[in-house]
Amino acid sequence: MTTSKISSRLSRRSVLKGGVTLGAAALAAPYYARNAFAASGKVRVLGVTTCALPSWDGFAKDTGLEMDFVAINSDPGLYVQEVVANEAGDDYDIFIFDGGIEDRLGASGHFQVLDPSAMELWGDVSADVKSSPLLQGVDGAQYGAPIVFNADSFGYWVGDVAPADEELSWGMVFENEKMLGKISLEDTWLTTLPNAALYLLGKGEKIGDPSNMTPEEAKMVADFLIERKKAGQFRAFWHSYEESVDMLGNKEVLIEECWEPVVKQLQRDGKDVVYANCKEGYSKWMIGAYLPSQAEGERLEKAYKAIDWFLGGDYGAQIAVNQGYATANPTASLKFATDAGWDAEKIGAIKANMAKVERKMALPHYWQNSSPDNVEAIEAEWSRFKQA
Amino acid sequence: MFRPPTQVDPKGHGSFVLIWSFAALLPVLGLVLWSVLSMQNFRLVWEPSLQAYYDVLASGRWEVTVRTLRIAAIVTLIEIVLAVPFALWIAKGTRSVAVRTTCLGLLTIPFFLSLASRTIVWRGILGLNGPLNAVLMHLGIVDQPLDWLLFSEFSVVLGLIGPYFPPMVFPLFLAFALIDDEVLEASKDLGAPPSFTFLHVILPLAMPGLGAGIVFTFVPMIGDPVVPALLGGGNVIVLSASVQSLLRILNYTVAAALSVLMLMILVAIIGAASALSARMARGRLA
Repeated sequence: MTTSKISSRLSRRSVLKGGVTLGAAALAAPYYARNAFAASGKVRVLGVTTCALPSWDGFAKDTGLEMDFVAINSDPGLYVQEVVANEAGDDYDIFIFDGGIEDRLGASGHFQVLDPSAMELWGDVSADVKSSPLLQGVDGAQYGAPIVFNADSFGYWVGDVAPADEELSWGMVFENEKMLGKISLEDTWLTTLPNAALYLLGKGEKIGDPSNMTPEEAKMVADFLIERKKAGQFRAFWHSYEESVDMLGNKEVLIEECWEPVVKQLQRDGKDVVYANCKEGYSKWMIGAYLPSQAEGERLEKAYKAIDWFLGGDYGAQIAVNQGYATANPTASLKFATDAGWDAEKIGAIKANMAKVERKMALPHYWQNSSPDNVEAIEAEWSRFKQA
Repeated sequence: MFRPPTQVDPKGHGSFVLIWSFAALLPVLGLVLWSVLSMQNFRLVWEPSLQAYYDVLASGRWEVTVRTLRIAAIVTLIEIVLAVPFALWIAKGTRSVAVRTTCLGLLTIPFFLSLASRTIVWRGILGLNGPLNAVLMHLGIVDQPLDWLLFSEFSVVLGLIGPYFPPMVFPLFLAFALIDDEVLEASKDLGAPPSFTFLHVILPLAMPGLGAGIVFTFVPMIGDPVVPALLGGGNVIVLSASVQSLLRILNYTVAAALSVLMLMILVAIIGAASALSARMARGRLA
């Protein structure tokens, strides 16, 4: 930003800070209160609910720290607002956000680069996972530690669409004359545009990176989607998890671009739906832990200790069993569950999860990017498709 | 201590104008300002441009504005057609206090439930495998389930009728109830048939109620995000959804431009309506 341009957004927190300084000059109490808080054995995390556990007892036992987990909606706009405008780094020791955000907030100096030597388990995390573009900045600096990740596709009714284990094309979702009006998509450019791009890429179209498209590429994908929309391909777009469960479960649609837990839940209800194996690849996402630039000294030590725990077996085993998602170190998860004497069903679930993740990672894929370079153009193309 | 409005200290007017300026006018001015600024790295910068307005037109958001106004207008008309006879009947048709109290009481029930939970019920009813389609197929009226019953403009309009009925009925009821029975008697005694009395006596006297009813239905419907999201199934994009989508990527300038355009349209509509009613009032006096 050049000096002629003045940032018009006065940071709320910096105004407050001015007030605090005045207050502190008059009365030293706020200073002591703040210091006392820093010395307590509490780790304050601002994170998305996907990675939260129902109970942090294991964390407290292993680290001797208390987890103070504050939930934030999975929304890149919110992250930027909290970190930049509200200077949340003053209050939180760790951010756990959708990966990709470090391209903006790392480069702007709001996150600090991780120090691998500060984490005992860092060396056990596979290089593939660590080097995800969703954890590293554009310059290759490691800003994020992998917390939870998965590769998303679509769910479908076995009897009406295809056998369970068949390898399917994303064309089942986007260009399927037999299923006109039987398909629902997630109502966001973040997943649906790159998934359509993945399909077009498979058909031989020229697209560099589905998750970081140029305005021209985004326009081509939107034009394709508009054509399919006019043909009557899509029945509806879902906004929330519950909605997506409902739509596929009721057979309002037979194929749905969705999250894996949707299919898991419907299967528990005895519905004959499966999560597709894709030919072209998957929509891979990752949630990472980031350190605010303000964290230093004792705060930083606690934060690294906490991240180390997330990389371990206790956390991984719980996430694998409850959500079916992948974590940094699956071998440690299996070892933890075995050592802790978990029942065969749970251990089986962890093993199945490991096999599934390995199979999906072997395929070509893209990493879902919540802050692509041309986000305004991409959102505008999406809005053109939505209103067409 | 109560004083008639004419005796209120002019300072009272001044403080009202001051408070109102801060509470309502300043944010609107801020919106206008934002809409002509530029965004860089998630921050607004002083580089005046009309790019945001160009973006509104280029990305199809203009059609969203038109669709939003159309849906709100259709539903408001339906509400008028339904609410006028109903409100007239409660105000003048029934002499039973019990019936009147019960009817007005029933109208308040929707306010006890969230709009989302009232709206979601329609999904089950209108869906491909819902009871309505089942009945239509059973009766042989259709041989395939109707897919336009849900996730269409039809379902959005249908879903909006219920929630916006009470805000139309209440002001109309008050306006009708204020009409003196003797006026109606006089019209009858002078030989006017009921339709004439309704058009030339009741309706002109109830105009303020109708105006308030339109303001309480049409205007909030334009910003309603709930019903179009739940029953439109992403196929009926209205203004609120478009603005939300912009705010999610922190595109403040285009969101502000879209809001300013809508505000201008609303002001134009309300201006035209009041000019029209003023002209009608003059015509009646002449």
